[in-house]
Amino acid sequence: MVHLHSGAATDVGRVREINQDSYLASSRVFVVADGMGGHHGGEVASAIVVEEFGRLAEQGYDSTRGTEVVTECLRSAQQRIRDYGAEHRSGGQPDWYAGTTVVAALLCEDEEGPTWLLVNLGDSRIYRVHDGRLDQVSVDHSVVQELLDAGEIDAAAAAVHPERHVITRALGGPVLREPDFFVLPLASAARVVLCSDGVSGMIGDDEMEEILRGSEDPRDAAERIVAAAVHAGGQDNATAVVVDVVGLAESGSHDARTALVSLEEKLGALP
Amino acid sequence: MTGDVSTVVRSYRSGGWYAVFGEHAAVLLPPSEKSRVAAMWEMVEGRAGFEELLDALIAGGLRGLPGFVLVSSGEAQTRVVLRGAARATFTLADGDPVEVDGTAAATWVERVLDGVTSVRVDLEDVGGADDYVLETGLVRVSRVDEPPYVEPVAQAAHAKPLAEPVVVPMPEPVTEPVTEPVTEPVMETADEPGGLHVAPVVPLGEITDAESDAERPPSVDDLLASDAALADAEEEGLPLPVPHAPGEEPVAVAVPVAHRAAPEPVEDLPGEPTQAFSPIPEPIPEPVAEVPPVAPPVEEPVEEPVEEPVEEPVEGEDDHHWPFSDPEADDDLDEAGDEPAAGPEIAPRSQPPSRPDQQWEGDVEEPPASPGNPAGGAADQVVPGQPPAPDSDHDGDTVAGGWDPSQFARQQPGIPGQPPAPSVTAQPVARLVFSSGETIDVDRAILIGRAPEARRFTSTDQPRLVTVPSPHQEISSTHVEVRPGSGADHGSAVVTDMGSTNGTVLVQPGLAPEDLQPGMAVQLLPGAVIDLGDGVTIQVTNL
Repeated sequence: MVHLHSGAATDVGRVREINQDSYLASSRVFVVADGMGGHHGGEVASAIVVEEFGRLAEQGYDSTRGTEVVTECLRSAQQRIRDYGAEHRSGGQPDWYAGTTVVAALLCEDEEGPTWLLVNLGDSRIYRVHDGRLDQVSVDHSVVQELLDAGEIDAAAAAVHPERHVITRALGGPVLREPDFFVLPLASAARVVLCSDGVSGMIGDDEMEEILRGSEDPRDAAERIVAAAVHAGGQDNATAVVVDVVGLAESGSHDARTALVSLEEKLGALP
Repeated sequence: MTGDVSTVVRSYRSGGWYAVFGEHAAVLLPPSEKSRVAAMWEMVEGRAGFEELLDALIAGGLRGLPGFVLVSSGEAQTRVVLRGAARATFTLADGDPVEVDGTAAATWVERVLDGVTSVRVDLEDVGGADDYVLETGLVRVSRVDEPPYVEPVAQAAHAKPLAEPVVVPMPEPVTEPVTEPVTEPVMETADEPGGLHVAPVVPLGEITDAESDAERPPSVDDLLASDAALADAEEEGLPLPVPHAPGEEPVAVAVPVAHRAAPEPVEDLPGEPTQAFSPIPEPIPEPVAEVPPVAPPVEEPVEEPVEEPVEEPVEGEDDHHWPFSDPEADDDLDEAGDEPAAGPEIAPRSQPPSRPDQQWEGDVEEPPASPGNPAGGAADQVVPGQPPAPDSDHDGDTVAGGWDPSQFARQQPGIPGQPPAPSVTAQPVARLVFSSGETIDVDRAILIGRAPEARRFTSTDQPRLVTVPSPHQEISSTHVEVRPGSGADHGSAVVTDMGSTNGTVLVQPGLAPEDLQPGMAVQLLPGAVIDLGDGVTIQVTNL
């Protein structure tokens, strides 16, 4: 039986006065959202998206239609953020605006069994640990990433680029932007890490990998990652969610997958 | 159509179709058929005949060619073949119009006409409103007139905005001798930094070598670069035509027309008010000389995004900047494929776009009253790459706008320079029979491997993952992809090795076994067998 064990931590950091990050760590749905906007708009926006995903976690979802479920969820979050913004702007706060990034991991299934469905909108990050190695799964929706993709700058230049916080997609804008989806076999991502850029911007992948390797319990891992980001300067709100797939040998082999599937079937599969 | 030895002149309006204009023949291809354009240009340039051109067009079968127009003019006869969404209207010597409409036929329409005096081809409803004169060359068009379209005199006054850098009005009827030197002013302009954006008016017969270097219409280079595919095209070895006569100074960039040094013109346009239609050098120097280098040359903005950000307000603020006015925001979730519009999409950042740019329409359906745009109503003035207005709300949270992600060519899976495959096809294009007995129809991308992963897909193009056993670990986690083909491969499946450790062997019927090159899609014939190793094979069959 697949169990997911998770841990989460967040910290306002050393510079900001308020924490605009929000997260969700339920039994099957995991989210990190990094809000932005003045007059507490960012907090509201990230809380809205977490609330929408929280509804999926509470009420259940069709795990064979993961991308549709998530798209619907993002649509309602988008609508709520826009409505909220329109309300404030018409209520005498013309410069009120809000948006949020979102990364989420959901336990889903396809023809062959349970999978991770991962989704990204913005520059929060999704990593997975596979064979002991940390591997960034999501691709930032940021100007710097676009420049990297275009070969205009290298990774070193990206790290100090003045535009490194300019993102090209987010939730809450005039139109709902297309998120990126990823599907990974559970066996290929026995540990999944979601974090805001207050983490990935403060500590490198090597440091995060080291922390994860030394933290067997995902709760410890999440807390240590956030602490390291704050220790490194805490320039931004830092949030991390770490999820472990337990009861599953970390193996990519078909036999392990098959065993997993049959076990799922015996136990009544996923809701 | 004019006679066979004369200089054929036509005018076109900008659009998405590719038009290859030769001296005796013209081939028009829809935007999706970009991969064929270079080959057609070579043939047309090489004076291939009507039959040859038609053979080449349909060599890969009709199904893969959604539309085309082939027109050739002989001694007195004009032959036309049309397929798909194109319509040609011919005017004959006796004054009767003949309309040929490709949409009316399931395969194609062919006509042979005598005594054609003019022809107009309509390809797209949207497109530029300005007519550019051209003799031979490769351009992207929405409409073609031959001889060149001339507005009724009453409307001839140009309403064109001065700011429009690329447009030169249709030449007025001019009776000056064609030998009137254009060279000097043009040369001067060529020395200026902005000298490249000259109107795509190509008075071929009159351009000298010196001019052709400096002043040129959008060349093949431009056209390819314009949709950010130049590098891809070069990688592919897509030939860029660089025609020049023997002994002539080679032209650095493709100016398909420059080799025709003999001035000529007027008398050779039988039966026409030649003065009105002859290639006229006169108007050229003026627009060229007058247009100050306001607009940056086409190439310039490409590098700008790197530097420009420095001007961003709120420097040092460590927060997200959020492009409310995101040009790519054409409601992505409903978006299908997108063919880049013709022409360079990178608007000059120092001025409002001088021509309608579809990419920006509808972006800001509800202009947000962001600090960068407090008025909320001026959002439609945002120009790609333009720095946002200074922030009025320095509370540490700022939005920024104006980045145009389309400036950055994202690496697409598939074949460089070819349009991306349709993600999901209505009908499967093939069936895969696995050695395990499992069968899967190819109606979307299928990723096959020991533990396949799907990376970065959208809600509408979710690939199917197929796990195969690999007791000896010979098969990589994501080993190959099979998907419906696009472009020349439309209608069949293509296979791509996803960078597997041990490689993939493809055996096509009647061909020697082939090792797939990672990342290179190969069209699958019915009967093909894909060997992944570890005893896993996949046979490709028709449905």
